[in-house]
Amino acid sequence: MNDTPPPDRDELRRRFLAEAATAFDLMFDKHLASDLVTFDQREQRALDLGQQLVLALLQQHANHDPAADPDAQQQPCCPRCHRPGRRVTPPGQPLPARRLTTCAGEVRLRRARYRCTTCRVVFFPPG
Amino acid sequence: MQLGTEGYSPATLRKVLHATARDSFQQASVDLAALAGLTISSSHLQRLALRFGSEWAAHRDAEVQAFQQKKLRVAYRAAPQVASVMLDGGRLQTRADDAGSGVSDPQWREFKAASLETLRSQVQTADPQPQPPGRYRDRQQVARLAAELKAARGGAAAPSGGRRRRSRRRSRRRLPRPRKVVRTVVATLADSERFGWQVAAEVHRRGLHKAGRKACVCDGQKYNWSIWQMHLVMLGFVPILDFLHLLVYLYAAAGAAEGKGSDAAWVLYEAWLALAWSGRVGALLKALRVVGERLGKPPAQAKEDDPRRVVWEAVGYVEGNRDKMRYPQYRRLGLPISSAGVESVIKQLNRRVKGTEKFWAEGGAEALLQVRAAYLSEDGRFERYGEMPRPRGRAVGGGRLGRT
Repeated sequence: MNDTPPPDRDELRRRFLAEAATAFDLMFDKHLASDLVTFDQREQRALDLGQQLVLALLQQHANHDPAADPDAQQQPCCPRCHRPGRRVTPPGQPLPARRLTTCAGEVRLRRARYRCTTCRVVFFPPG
Repeated sequence: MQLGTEGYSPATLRKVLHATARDSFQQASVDLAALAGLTISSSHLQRLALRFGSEWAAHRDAEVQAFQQKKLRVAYRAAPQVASVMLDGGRLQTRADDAGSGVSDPQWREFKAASLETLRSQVQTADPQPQPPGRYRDRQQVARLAAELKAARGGAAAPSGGRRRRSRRRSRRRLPRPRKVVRTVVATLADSERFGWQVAAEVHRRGLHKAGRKACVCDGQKYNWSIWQMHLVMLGFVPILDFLHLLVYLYAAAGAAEGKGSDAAWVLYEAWLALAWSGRVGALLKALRVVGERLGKPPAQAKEDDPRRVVWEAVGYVEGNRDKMRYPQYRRLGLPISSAGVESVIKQLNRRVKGTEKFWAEGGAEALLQVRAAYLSEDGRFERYGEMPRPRGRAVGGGRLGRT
């Protein structure tokens, strides 16, 4: 298990709203207004800012999943032989990240890592 | 979360497969960058498309096995009103599988394709179109059609140009022809026996055997009718000889008898067309034989374009398929009489797999045919396959499991 407890829902909400507020400010910043003259410039800025929010939302939601870091009683099974795997990520260590390309960009999924000694594969919990 | 080992979200993978099904891997890479902001190299796209195509081919084979064991479920509750199965073949170029990079041992290979359609049509008390349509009586259009079908058979590119635009008034007039509702496509490099089972499994899965009226429309290729005989005849599929191919045989025979492009040849073609369209097969055969006897039998070593050979081939074609030429009856029942549906499918498959610079390893061709067939199918096959559990494969691309 990771020593640092995962942030609760309220904390995630606060973080997301802070990011949304930053996005809003960047869109409506008076000093940056000269960059947003044509519709194309405005559309591009809104899309970029929106994309950052989509990524933040997606990453937070996926990493907040309890299955990302199962407790010691739960042993995820190997996707090949379906036998319980052995945990590789030591307790207290940060969970390794897996890069995932989505339609909005790249997110980092943090998941505990497991190994199947029979199939000799490393895998992440399925949740 | 149903993520594979590829390092892409399912929605991204759907975009990737959509792009690779449409165009070359190189063009797909450019399109994905421009339209979806995804930077993926063409070689990586190729690996992804072939991996998914192989998985889908395995899934198709599992469905065939389930069908053979009578365990395949019908996916649709309501029986369609009318159904048609159309079979045909196309060609692509292959290269040796294990010869490293570059093209070794290039060969033309035939792939087989089926277009399975549900249709909407009415049963009529009388033949709804007793006269052949105008396009079959238009010299320019018939010549173009004949050239197109001949080119499709020979593997060459179809001639372009000369297509006449339909007038607005004409396109608005709706003849009582069967209208397509949903089409699915089966395509494979496998032999005709395995292809037959794949078609039969798809017919069962879609519940086409439950249709009130159903037809199997093909050209005179023998293996097409073997498949019909083995899998479709007991389900009540009416065998129909594709009228377009028949028309091309008659046009070629008339040209061979009276001189290609001559007025006399056109008059003869129109007379034969009228007989074929009205289902008077006996009279058509008699007329063809009269011309054949006049020219005499072709010698064994006669060239392909020898007039005697062309005419007697037409005689043989009509003779061998005379029980599948009751066109007035088929039109009355609202069944299709041309295999234009599968001709279109072949053209669309060719657009992706055939080209002077395209040489496929056998496994690669089969995989890409599955991706393209899914793209051409109108029953949401992309989404359906996307929801299936996938076998665990090796990660595609370096460092995707790396620690940060």
